[in-house]
Amino acid sequence: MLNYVWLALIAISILVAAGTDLQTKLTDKYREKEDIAVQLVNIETTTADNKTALLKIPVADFNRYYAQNLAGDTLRCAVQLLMLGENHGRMTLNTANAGVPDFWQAIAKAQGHPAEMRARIVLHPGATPATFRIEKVGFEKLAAITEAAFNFAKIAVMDIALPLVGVMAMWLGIMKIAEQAGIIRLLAAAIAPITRRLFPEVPTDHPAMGAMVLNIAANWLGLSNAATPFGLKAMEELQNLNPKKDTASNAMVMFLGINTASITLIPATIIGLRVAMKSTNPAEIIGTTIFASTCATMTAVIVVKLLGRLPAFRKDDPNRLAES
Amino acid sequence: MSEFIRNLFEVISVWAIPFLLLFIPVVGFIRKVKVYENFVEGAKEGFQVATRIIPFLVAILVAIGMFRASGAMDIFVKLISPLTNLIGMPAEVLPVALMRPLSGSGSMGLVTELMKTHGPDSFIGRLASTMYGSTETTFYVLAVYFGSVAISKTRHALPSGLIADFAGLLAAVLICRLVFG
Repeated sequence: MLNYVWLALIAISILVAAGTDLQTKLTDKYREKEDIAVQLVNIETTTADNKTALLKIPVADFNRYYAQNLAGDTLRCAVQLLMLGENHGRMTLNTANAGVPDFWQAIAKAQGHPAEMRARIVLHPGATPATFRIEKVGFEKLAAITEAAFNFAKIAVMDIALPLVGVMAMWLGIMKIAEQAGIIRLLAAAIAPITRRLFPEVPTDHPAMGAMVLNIAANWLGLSNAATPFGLKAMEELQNLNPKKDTASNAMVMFLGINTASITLIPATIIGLRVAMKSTNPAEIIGTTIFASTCATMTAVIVVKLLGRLPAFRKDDPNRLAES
Repeated sequence: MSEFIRNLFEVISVWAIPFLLLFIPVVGFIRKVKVYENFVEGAKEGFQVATRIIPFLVAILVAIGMFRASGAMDIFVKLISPLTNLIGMPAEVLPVALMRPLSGSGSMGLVTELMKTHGPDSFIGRLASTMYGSTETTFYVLAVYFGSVAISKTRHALPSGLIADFAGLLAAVLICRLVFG
């Protein structure tokens, strides 16, 4: 199942990106092939071939060229010129400057250097009118997904797995103490009436039960950085009970169902965000979150049990295969 | 009353971890467990487990990262929005609903964006918050958890997770309509 989803995500990304880029090229969205008429005023020479100027274009013209609907009268942007001849040269427009419209920022981004939009410019001698034509725009979306692929490969290791080493070590250490002290056995026994029904294949006093209980409790309290170590530990213990090592057991599917649709009593992350956004009552969503997440958990339990009875999923049940 | 509940939850979220970090070792100590040695013994596994999930993390995050960057989400939103209008879900929050099972940081970004434009106390802001709070990143969790123990046949885990996510989203829309509508 994950095979299909994984491949579909990659295939869809590349198709959509290539399609979008192609459409941009075909419709000439950024007017790569056209000269845009503007006015250049306050032209000042800084060094030999370098000049600075103020570029002016009526908003009506801008909207017509780029099919936009900006409000206002005249756009004014500071530009730098590098003269390559008497009356032509390269123009760069710094997108960090005030008054640069979003569309030009988008062009700069599509050209591969978001900080500046680059164009060829032709000055008409003796007067202020000039025309410019932007430099070629790259395959924007394809470049973006390539960058995202490398970026996320790095994030997976540097921002998620490596920091997890420390957190994981800490919680597994605490858990070991809890195990030795018999706390986990007590906890597991206390909720055995529920877990016996949810995980009939797992013995109540098995270490998997303790890890699962701790994971579920951490999820309920919104302690996500404690939940992952317990969850991974629980999977390891469940795998010890699993007679067929490449196939998910019923207990694993149930555990992940409860985990991914977990009841959330304290949505800590989102409350933090609402505080940052200056909400007048950041915690008002606690009630609705508890309701919605409880519905999700109950659905998960029911659906896991029901789908598990379907012949397609039942025939691969590791415990059933082991018995026969 | 709501003020009391809010304070209670605040106390729990601040005290839960310090409490556990004190409570468990103290109980262990009283029960004559060698707390320091056992902590170190348990902690040894941390590196192993965290590094074992790296290949799965990379695989799933690369695919999700590409998907996010490609703009495919916008197309899905256009396709599905007529359906979600029927259940009274504003079109603005649909990207959050679709992104949530894939990526925590991605959907977080979308919720932030919605709160910036509509305000955290608008209906959209509240609904997006509820949706974010009430479901998990199903794909990611499945890939990493199953990956960590080398399970390739996941049976009904993914369909169950997605159906539960969908139920959670429906419930979020329903309860927000009732409470904040």
